[in-house]
Amino acid sequence: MSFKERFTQDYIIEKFTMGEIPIAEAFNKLFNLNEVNINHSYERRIYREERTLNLQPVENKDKNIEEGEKLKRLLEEMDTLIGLEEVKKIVKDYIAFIKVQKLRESYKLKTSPVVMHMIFKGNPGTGKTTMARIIGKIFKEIGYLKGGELIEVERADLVGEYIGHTAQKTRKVVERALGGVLFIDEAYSLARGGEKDFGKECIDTLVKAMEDYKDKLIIILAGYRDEMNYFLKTNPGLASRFAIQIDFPDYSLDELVQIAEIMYKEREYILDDKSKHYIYRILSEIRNKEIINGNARTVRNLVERSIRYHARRIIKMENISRKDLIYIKKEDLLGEEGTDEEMPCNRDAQCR
Amino acid sequence: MKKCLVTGMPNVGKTCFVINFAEYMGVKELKFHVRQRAGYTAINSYSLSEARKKLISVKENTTKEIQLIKLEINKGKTIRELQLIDSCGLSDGIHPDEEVRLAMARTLRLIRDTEFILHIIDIKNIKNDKKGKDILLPVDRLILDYASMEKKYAILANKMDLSFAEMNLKILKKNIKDIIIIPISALYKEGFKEVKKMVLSYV
Ligand SMILES: Nc1nc2c(ncn2[C@@H]2O[C@H](COP(=O)(O)OP(=O)(O)OP(=O)(O)O)[C@@H](O)[C@H]2O)c(=O)[nH]1
Ligand SMILES: Nc1ncnc2c1ncn2[C@@H]1O[C@H](COP(=O)(O)OP(=O)(O)O)[C@@H](O)[C@H]1O
Ligand SMILES: [Mg+2]
Ligand SMILES: [Mg+2]
Repeated sequence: MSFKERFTQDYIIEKFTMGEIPIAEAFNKLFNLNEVNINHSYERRIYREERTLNLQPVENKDKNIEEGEKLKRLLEEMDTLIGLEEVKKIVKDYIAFIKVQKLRESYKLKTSPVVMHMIFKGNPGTGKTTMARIIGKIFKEIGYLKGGELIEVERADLVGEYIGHTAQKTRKVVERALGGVLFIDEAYSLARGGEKDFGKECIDTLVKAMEDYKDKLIIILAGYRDEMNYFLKTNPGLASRFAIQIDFPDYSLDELVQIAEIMYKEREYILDDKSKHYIYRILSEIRNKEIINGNARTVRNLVERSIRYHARRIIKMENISRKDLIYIKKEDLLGEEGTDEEMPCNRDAQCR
Repeated sequence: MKKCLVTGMPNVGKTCFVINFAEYMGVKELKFHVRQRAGYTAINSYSLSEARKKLISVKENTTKEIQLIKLEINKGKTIRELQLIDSCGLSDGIHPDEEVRLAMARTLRLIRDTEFILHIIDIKNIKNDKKGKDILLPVDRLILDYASMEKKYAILANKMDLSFAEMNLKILKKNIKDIIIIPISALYKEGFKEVKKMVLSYV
């Protein structure tokens, strides 16, 4: 900055300090905001936006033309889930990939095998099951799966009590899941008991099933991030078969509140103004108390509890109006008799 | 040492943000370097709770002096330093009190001289988007227009704990494109992870 410029600026600041010019004028003069002869800053913004608009590439509109109506609706359903941006993007990428493979096949071009088995890592309530269910439906719609159903199992459904039993049990589950998604929750527990454990037998059977039924089902292994990472590290054969690994991060407070609002809406309840304000504080407090973040599950517990308390409150009223039936009040969100101590923490998460 | 100016209109939560963010970044005792008008710098030490009690208030223009605080940030294996600067908020028109105008003039200089600007906007100051009407208050618009063009710049949309905040955030995001907007609650220390990430990219 030259001496002259600095001098002019000092002069402007001096005039502002003396109360001779308002802040907008000081700003404009100091920072040359009125270049191109546009004085008012709002008009200036419009001008700038128009300028940037011209630079933006035209969006390719006919990209989506051949997508079926149903697929569109499923994608919309996925998009209404709060957050989860990374997963959404990956799913969309794979849809494109599979479609292109199909087209190439129809032109007798070489295709790459599409292996869709996935690992979902994240805390409880981060939307893993919900997402897996939608993925099943989507991949049915684009013709990758026949049925698209989701079968959710855990260790106890797969591992048996004696030698040979486990393989048989696992195979049955796989057969039931054919054409859809086999979702194994807390999959890391399959590696629990070490070499002698039947969990090993289960893993071997799964690996074999993945070879046998290459593109007839999608297997999704889910569980806490650290546990899953350890599990994969100790089972390298398995890790190489699951190319798609997705992180489900904890929801932010904002996202949790949005999820709460969706849950109330689905159940045809509405938070009144005070309780809308209050739910932030409650969720933030619960979150600080929980040992493991229960995410959307904590929200669901809170929502369901408040609906119970709402019923308990309004049943005592003389005349119950439609409005009474709809609106959740602040006291419905609180614990017993307005104390905060009884929070609906996520029970599974707490006792871990 | 790199510098970061926290600015915005009066009462938007600048001081609240600076104190709570410093705590979030591991500062135990706040040493505010207060630049006095006479030109010398005094060091005022506060515990965090003391600082909150004394420096944050519902009154407008609580902060008049320039308050500086040093953060130490781990970046990889090295420790970087960043000076957070809290100063007098800017309000529209001509303020009747000369002392406040003088303080605002210091903020104007800081805006000119600081490379990195965090602009705190109170989410309840966002107006509905009607054609021909700005969704921002004039002063917020002035800061945004200048700083977003010339500086490393981000908007911190504060007081997201308020009930209508979500709706206003949507309006803000819809109308202000291509600018980093981080929703926070300075009071409840929400959204600080994102702020930290952004600050890390700068130091
Ligand atoms: N609800 C809510 N209130 C907040 C938040 N952050 C700050 N406040 C309140 O806003 C008021 C002003 O906060 P300050 O930190 O003093 O604001 P400031 O921008 O430094 O104000 P000046 O120094 O007077 O310009 C106080 O009453 C704070 O408690 C927030 O995230 N949520
Ligand atoms: N992003 C989201 N938006 C809306 N609701 C969600 C979201 N994520 C999870 N939920 C809801 O939270 C609950 C728990 O989610 P779930 O998918 O079972 O989590 P996980 O399998 O990771 O434990 C379900 O009721 C689900 O509908
Ligand atoms: Mg689940
Ligand atoms: Mg202040």
